[in-house]
Amino acid sequence: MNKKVKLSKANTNSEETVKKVKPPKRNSKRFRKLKFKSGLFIAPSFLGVMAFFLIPFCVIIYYSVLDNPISANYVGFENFKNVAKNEAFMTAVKNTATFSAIAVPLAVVLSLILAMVLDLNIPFRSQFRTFFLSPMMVPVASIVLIWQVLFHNNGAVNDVVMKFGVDRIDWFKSDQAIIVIVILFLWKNLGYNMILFMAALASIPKDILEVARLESANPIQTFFYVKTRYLSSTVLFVTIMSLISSFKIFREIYLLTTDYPYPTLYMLQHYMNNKFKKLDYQALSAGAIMMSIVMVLIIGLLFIVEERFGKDVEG
Amino acid sequence: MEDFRKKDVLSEEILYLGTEPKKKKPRKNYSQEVLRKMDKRAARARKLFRFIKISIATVIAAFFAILFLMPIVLTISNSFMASSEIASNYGTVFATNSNGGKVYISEKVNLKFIPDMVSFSQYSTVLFKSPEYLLKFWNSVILVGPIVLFQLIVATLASYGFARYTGKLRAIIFFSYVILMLMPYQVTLVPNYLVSSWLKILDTYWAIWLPGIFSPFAVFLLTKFMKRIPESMIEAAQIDGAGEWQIYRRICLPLCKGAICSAAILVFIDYWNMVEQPLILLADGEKHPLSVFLSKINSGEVGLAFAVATIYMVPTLLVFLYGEEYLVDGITYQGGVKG
Amino acid sequence: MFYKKKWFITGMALALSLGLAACTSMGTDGGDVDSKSGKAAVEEIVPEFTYVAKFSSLSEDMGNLENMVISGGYVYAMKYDFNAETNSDASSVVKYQLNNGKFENPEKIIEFGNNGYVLNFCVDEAGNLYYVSRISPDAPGEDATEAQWNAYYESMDQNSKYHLIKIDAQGNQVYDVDFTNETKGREYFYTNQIVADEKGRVFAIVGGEGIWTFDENGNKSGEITVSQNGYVHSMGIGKDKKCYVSYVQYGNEGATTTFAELDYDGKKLGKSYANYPSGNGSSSFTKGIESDILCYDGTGVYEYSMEKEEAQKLLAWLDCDVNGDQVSAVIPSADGKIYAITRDWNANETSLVELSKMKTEDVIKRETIKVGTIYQDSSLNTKIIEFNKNNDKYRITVKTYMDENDWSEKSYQDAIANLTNDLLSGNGPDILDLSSLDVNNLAKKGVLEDLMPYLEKSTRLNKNDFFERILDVATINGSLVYLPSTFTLSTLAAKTSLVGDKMGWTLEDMMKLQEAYPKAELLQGATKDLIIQLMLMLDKEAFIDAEKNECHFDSEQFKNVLKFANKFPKEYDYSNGYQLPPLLLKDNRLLLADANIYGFEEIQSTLAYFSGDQVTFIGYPNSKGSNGCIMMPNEQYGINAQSQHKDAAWAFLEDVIDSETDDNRYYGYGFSTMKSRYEKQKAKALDVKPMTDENGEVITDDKGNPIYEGVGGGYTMVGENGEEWSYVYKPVTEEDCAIVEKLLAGATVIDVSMDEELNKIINEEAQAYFDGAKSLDDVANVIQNRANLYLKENN
Repeated sequence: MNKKVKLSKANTNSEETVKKVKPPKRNSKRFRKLKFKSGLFIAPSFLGVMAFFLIPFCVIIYYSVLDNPISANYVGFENFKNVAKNEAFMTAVKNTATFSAIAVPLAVVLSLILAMVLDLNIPFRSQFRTFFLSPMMVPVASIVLIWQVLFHNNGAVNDVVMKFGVDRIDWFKSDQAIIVIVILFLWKNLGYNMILFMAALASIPKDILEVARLESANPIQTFFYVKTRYLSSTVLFVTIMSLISSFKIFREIYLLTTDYPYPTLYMLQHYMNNKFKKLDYQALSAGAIMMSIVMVLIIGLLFIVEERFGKDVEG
Repeated sequence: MEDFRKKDVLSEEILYLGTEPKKKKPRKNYSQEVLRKMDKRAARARKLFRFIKISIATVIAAFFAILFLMPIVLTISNSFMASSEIASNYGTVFATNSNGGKVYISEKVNLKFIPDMVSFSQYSTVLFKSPEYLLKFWNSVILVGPIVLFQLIVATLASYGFARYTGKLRAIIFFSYVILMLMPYQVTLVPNYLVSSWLKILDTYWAIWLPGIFSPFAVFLLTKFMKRIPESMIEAAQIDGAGEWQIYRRICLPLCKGAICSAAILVFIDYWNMVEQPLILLADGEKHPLSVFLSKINSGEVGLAFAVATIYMVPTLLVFLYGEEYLVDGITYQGGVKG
Repeated sequence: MFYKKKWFITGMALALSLGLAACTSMGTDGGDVDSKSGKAAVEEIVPEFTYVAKFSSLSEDMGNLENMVISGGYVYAMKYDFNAETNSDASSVVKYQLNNGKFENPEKIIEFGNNGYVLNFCVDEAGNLYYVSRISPDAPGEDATEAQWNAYYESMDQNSKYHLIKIDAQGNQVYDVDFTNETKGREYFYTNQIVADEKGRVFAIVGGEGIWTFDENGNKSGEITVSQNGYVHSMGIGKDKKCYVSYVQYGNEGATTTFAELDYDGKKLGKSYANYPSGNGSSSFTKGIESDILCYDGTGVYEYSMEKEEAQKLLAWLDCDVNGDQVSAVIPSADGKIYAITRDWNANETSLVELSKMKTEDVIKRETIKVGTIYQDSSLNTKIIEFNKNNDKYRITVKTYMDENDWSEKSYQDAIANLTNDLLSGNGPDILDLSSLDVNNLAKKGVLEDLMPYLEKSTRLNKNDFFERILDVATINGSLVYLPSTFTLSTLAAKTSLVGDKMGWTLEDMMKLQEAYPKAELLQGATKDLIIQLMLMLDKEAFIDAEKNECHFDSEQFKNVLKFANKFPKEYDYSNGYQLPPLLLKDNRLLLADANIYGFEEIQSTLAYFSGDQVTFIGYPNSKGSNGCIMMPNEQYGINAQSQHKDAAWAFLEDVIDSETDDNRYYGYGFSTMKSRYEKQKAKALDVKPMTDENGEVITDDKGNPIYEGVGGGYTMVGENGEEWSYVYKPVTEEDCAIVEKLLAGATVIDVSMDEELNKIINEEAQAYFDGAKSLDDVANVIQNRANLYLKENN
């Protein structure tokens, strides 16, 4: 069987080796049957998601057009206007956007670099891998203690900082607070991202790399022209995962600083959490909907970029 | 065929020298012996160069590794401290005044890696004298176990469905999965409360299991991997007469083992940490998982906090170590099968 | 390597689970009866049966019955009567016949005059009565000197005689044993309880730790030591006719209660039984109806089975409309009914409650309305019980949201979150106790029903009768959300020579005063936190501009507040012991005194602190120019706008407000919020008549002052060095009322639900400044930032 032999020798999707099997025609019976059957597979998940995520989301939309959840008077877009104008909300948006803009790219780039470092066949590779992954599985509450100790006004980090002659900084109550949170975020997430990249790096077909070498490409050129193509899909994946995690950072911040932290740490989720506590579900919902619209745009963009950029790789 | 041969030749050279010679320098007319010596020197130089490169890389890696590990090591080692030691060293961070508010004593915080006196008092208090902690631990297990198990089942089914057929409708549904996944919990918590109240499952574990089981997170993770399975393999199986279910069971599941493991670990970690949902949806304090309990501890008995944190870490550690191999092996592009 | 690792991990996981499982089971087994496991061991009420209560009043003279025992259709009780006129007392044991739930035909079995005293008694199954008596030497006569009286008291113990006496069912004395010799060497002999088993052997709890045993002839035969670090709670006879004891022991985990058999022969404690119900201060026990033991506490009645080692809750007092705090005795009778005696100290009433077990379905159900409260409140419970007793249509139940075992901030937040969820999902309580809730927020959300229409339609209450200011504060967004029944005035007082005679001053004035007397204490118990609280209580407007929604915590004024607060100690230094305020005030070592005016008589009691100097009620410092007096409404109850039983809820509220300030029933304290009743209170306070004896002559106390009806009582403060200061309430005068009027006229009504969040932010950040860790400017900036954020979020 010809096809099978080819597959085992070069198990990648490089253009030359695999002959594409033509996808069945769109309207054929087989196609419809496929559609139906695969639909069945999706069914349980879909029903569940409808019940526990979609319907709640509709409830959110419902709340966002009321003046308050109990007396339920329709007020249309009033809430959206109020929330958008609210200074605290704007601060939150700014902070969240800044944080994500700093943290996510850093997470992607640093983890890629680390992956490349580890890729160089250094000793104890798998042990390092374990070490790097370890922060990921430490639960939030356990770690918060140590973090507080480190960054306390009288803590270890300030000791180091003072040795350099800088005044001690009360990290959580200053404009530099964001640095702490970024460090926390990176600490947590670099490990997993790095593994993803290592795997991606390992699976770049060697023969392409050989060709590049033979063409006398230096490492930098190799990287930018060859490796990125293969890594693009992973980069997208890592970006989305990091984006998700960057929202989850709220829990750490909350445990470190309670409901109303110093304004530089005040995130979107703080705003939503506080509204939640005060029964202001209409503001919460309006904010959430605005946030989802933004996310739809960002993620949509990412998906399109991936489509275009990585198309020639996936074929 | 020619390509392969060339490759072999080249790789031999690579193995031998350790570096990839880019250009072959033209050799002057030296004697054989001198040439050999120059080669050896060059070889040694290249070896040295490579050695340095690797050491620098190792040092960088080690540096980061230490940084990464430090907090964990600290937590574990501090859990072996007696509470008096903790109070004297970290007192300033955790001290509270009579109203329970934070206190800023201007004393230095001593970061201790090795306790002056190793004491198991924290552990004995937690394990033997206060059974509540353990009860909550089992609550956590009861809460998280089913979620991980069933979410994966539901998610693998769904991601198979998504991978097999990609139409516009599917794409939209998938996209909405992603968006829903990004919603912070405050947004869905109240509606979840309402839905649970309608379904009369409030204050039971179902109120947490059900939303957890149907979370789109695992679907997102797994679809990526399912899609990588070459269409050809599936075609082959179909030719062999396999129905959809067989394909799912015999081909996709084994191939995605790594991804499933990876998803399982991530889901486990996520739900092991969950605090707010149990608070709202489970009114009965007896049912609360350890995460809720631990978050209350931070303001209370700090002495125990480290030990409890360590115990809390252990299951995730075990799960992680257990699945690490799968985690790493599975996240590759490989859709390779032994023929 | 790969596989080995997997097995290793699996092995570890198994070991861990087994280990933890073992620890868990060990932990919950070990007989640790803390409140949590105690709760778990008690089954909830079997809904098949309910106890229905029937109330009957007992006559006045039955009010002081103690130690009741039912045996053979009779009720025995101890009685102690004091006759003020003849200054004589009588201690007796009385026997009543129990007919149809009534105590009839009292018969005094034992009676002692002035020298004798029945310490305790018991009755066994056969009807034999045992008692311990104490006979004291004669008291010195009426005209004896004080020294002679002192000598008498001191020697009373040495020279008293103690007897153990047994009387059989026919009334013949079986023995009378004088065991005074046994008591020598003890400082003071007293027995809390005695119990006799079927063989006629007597056990007596002595001094709270040990139990003495007496043989069949009444001679002391031994002692049983019960616990080193604790005390014996009570003894009783179980269904198997053996004697049991319940005792409390203090250990590392707090107090634990154990239930054990008394072993006469071995002179020790016998077998002990686990899971004896012990929450809420359980009281004595008797043999049970179905199970071995019946016992009760402040929340309900339980039956305990020794064989199964588990307790079953028979009834909860609240469900039966009985006030659990007032129960003084519980006796089961052979026909399955349970009798309880309750004593209402406020109203001076004693009732007999007959609880009969009925099938739940047979009990006529009334419509239930729910009251939701964060903290449990006994005065609320009292009101609810009253309502339930008197209302045939509705019944009120209470839901407490706070977890009683956890008083942390987080637990409070959880309670609030749960309440909020209930409200949102439509399961909220019908009546809300607003005292710990953010009333403003709830009102803005439309959670609370507008009470104004109800008030206008009410026949018992008149809208115009209320103080406008109270109604104003309670009206949010145009609707009246709660209606307090009473209020308290709170202010500060100081010597006129220090502060002048005008009421009201500013923060600068107060700081100047402190500067003038640098060594003096400004306010007793003042700490940094307290001072900040004071400043913010009345003067938030100085720092928060509500209209522009801005705050100015980085202003000089606020920094001055912080600087000033910093001068006070962090925590109050109690090392000098309690110094009496009056003495300190006299020497200007203390400058200000708290004045909590909850009744007209409190004016004089505050003035008395100043030992005659001229006093000004200077008030809390503020920048608004008010007289600094705060008017705090007590009790705020609101009605849930989504309730289905609003009329019933209003009926309850009306009841509470109306009866609270009714002349005859005066539950709470405070001035009435209704002008007419306030006037009545004033009139009643002013209307004091001296007490006269039969000849119309005024009765005076030993200082020659007339004794007034309804006035009296007082208190004595003892300082660290033994110095004393006492105060006896005097009748209210016109001047007192005038002062109250002045305070009232300028008082600011504070909405008790203050903004917690801002206080938290300020307090938290201020600590850094107080501890010297940060500079004043830094801290002020941080506070300003965070507070600003808070305000902006909630505009």
